[in-house]
Amino acid sequence: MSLAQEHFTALADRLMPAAGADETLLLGWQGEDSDFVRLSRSRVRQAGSVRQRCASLELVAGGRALRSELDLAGGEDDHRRLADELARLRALLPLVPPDPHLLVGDQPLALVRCDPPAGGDAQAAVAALCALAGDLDLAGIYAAGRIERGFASSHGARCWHEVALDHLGASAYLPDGQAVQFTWAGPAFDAQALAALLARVRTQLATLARPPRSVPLGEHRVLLEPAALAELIGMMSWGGFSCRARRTRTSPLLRLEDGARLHPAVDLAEDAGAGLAPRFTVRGFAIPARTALIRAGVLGDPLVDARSAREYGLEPNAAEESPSSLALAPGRLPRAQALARLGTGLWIGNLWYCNLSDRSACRITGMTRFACLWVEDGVPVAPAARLRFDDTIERLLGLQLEELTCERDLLPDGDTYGGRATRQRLLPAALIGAMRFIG
Amino acid sequence: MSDPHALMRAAAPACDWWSLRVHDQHHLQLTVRNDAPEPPRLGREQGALVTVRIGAGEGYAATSDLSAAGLAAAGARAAAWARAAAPLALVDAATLPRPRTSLGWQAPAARPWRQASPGELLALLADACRRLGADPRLVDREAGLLARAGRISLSTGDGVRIDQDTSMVMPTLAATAHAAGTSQTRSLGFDQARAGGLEVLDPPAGFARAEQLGQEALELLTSPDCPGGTMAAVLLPGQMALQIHESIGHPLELDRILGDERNYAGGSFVTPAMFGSYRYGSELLTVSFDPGVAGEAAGYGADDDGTPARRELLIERGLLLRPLGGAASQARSGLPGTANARASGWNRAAIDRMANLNLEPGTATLEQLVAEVELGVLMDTNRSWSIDDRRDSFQFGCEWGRMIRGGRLAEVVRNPNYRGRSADFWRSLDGLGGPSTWAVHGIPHCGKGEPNQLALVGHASPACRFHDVAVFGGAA
Repeated sequence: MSLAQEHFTALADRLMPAAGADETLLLGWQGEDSDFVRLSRSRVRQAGSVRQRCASLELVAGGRALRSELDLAGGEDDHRRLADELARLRALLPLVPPDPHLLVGDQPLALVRCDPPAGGDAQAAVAALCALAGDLDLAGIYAAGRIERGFASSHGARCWHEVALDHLGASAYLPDGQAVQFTWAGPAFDAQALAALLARVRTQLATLARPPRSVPLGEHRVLLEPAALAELIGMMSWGGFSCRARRTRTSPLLRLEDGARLHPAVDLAEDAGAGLAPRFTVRGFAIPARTALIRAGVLGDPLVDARSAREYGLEPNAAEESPSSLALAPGRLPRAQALARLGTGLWIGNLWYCNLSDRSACRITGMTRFACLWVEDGVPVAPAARLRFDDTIERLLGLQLEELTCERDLLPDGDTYGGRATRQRLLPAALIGAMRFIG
Repeated sequence: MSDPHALMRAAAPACDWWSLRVHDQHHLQLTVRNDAPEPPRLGREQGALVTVRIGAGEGYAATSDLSAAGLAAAGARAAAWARAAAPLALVDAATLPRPRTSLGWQAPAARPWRQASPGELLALLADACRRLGADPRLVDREAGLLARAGRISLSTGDGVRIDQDTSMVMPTLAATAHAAGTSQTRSLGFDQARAGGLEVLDPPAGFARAEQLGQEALELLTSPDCPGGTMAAVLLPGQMALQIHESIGHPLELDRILGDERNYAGGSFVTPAMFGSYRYGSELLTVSFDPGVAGEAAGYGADDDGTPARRELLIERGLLLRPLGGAASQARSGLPGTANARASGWNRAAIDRMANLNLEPGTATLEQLVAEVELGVLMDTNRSWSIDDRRDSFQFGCEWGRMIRGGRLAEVVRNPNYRGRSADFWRSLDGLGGPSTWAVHGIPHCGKGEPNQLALVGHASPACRFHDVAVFGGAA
């Protein structure tokens, strides 16, 4: 048991007896001990550490609920602050109207994952990283440390989730702005793995150094690398798998809801069992190992949080109604043959700033970014200038999808809004017969 | 709780300079969806960020432990990072400016939101949700409220002390109608954040337009799709806020121009050499950084690095004058800037951000802007935004459009979209609304930075008219 888990468990054990006979208390925990180093031009722009511990306390009684989130110090005073907050919630709760869709788990869940300490030294890692970069112009972020999630309830639940994750998200630049983006993630910094990665980056930069090709607008064959495909899947996930959005007709996958199909190779699942995210929710429910979101091109099961479960009479299967551990089944195309199968067209490493240009039709616009290469007869010949696409998922992953690769990339989410994310995606590359470029 | 600043003075590590920024912020989030209230979410963010400079190195450490021991530990961690960063530093920390001015500042809040109970406010939201309408085609109706208030205080080892009290309230309101395989949403836009207290909700703002929004969502179901073509576009302030944000604000952020954001939010088509000579837009385009506009969301007395804030013109009559860069970026680049080094909370270091970034009004009424258009479309309320990493090539979409034919407003159209390039678009500004068309908007979730940060920004603008815009509609 880690020190953080010991502290959380002790807090819960002291606090929960305060729940009255007609009350339920839920205690959530989000913490991290992280080092963040921002790199620019392969030098350190900003460096520091963040120790944060945020508790969520929810009081439920008489069909009413009220939730409060507090930053805690991590010491003896935490219990007093939570007890004070509980008293405040008790005073306010009668003033809140009953919630008809309130659902709280009453099982004594005991789900625990606690990765062993990695023992990394972030300062040494950054020094090694800058040395390995050599003459490369790198920009990006190195984030390292432990991420904690916890849940306890007055029904006896005690759940803990603690993972160690180092993550480097960076890009390497040529003087004209052409760039390759790359990520590395693992339980601890690995100089050898990073050196190999940077060697591949240097090779890609050599191709990008060729004179750029102006690609005509219109439709082109494309090979979307997993990181690029992740952007499209991200747009589908913007309500597309949400029970609430599907029931209220606000999902971008309305057409799939109404019977349209994607390519039969599209088999998409929330694979919580293989993810980095906790397998419990702060409303007291366990998350199943796998939820099939799209089966052989047909829209499958929704992600259902506790609230939707009550509203629509379903079983909860998610902490929130957007995926955290997406996995797209592998296809049959060996990656080594992908460029040959592409023939002539665009190899796209990344897409950028996607958005829905027509939500009802799941029509998506976005830009190419970082490495985007024009390929002729299976050979990359030149970098392509930035291109804007505007196309529908129904076409890109339906009629126009030719193959998915056998190999998949694991893409941990490097987002750090508020705190470090535990989301990830496991995706193949996609060979698409025609993608529309409009600017 | 003891004053963290006093504790820090006693516990500061041996260093050339240190600062402590303490945040103590309350927040409240309320939602009523389809007439059902969701559990209110209250909260309090309390923590501090210690910055330490030793030689050429600067390091920071953020902690939610504001005890003497907690702050001392944070100071030691920041010092360790400062020492480790020194030989690798992009910027020599010894050359970075230090704040010199102590001050106090308070956001106006005539009726502080914390004086109302969540129950009272939920009743207000329930009424607004109901007024969105009862038509069965209205499949999703939602009223919400986001509020924040508290104190941000900064002290330095050389005796500067800045205390600033903030207060922000943002209403949200949205109705989605569905029929025959299409859904259409009308909303206030998620850009209604205003500085102040509950007076922000007073009509004609707040939830006063509930009935109108519900009706407009229904009207869009049977409206034709926006036609495609090159035509005039009249953008109301609800879309101008996004247009200013994405294609003026972000490209002018000096840290982007200097390359710090290249891996995440991106760079800029603007280069340092352009300031003072580049024609960003037509003669009608004047853009200010203005922390003092009453009610605008991102007002303050000093930024999070302690630089006193004042109004500056970034673009004057189309000419690019200065970037959005805080004291550190100014020192690095030798360019003038603004007081806009900001952090999203106690756990993040300050970076260059927009704050209140405004397009100055002209004199025309909306009727006058429309009267000079032979063929065009009027658009309101952003719903889709995409722009390249240099903030040049963009494509934006709105919830609601209305055709302009022969100088008059004509039929309502759905799915209005347009695209262009920042470098050209602002030069096509040929009509500038006056005070009667001017409005203040505030966006609470501008994402940027590594580690990531969400910032509150304000944008005030009149209605604007642009010629020869590439306009198009929806469908596959």
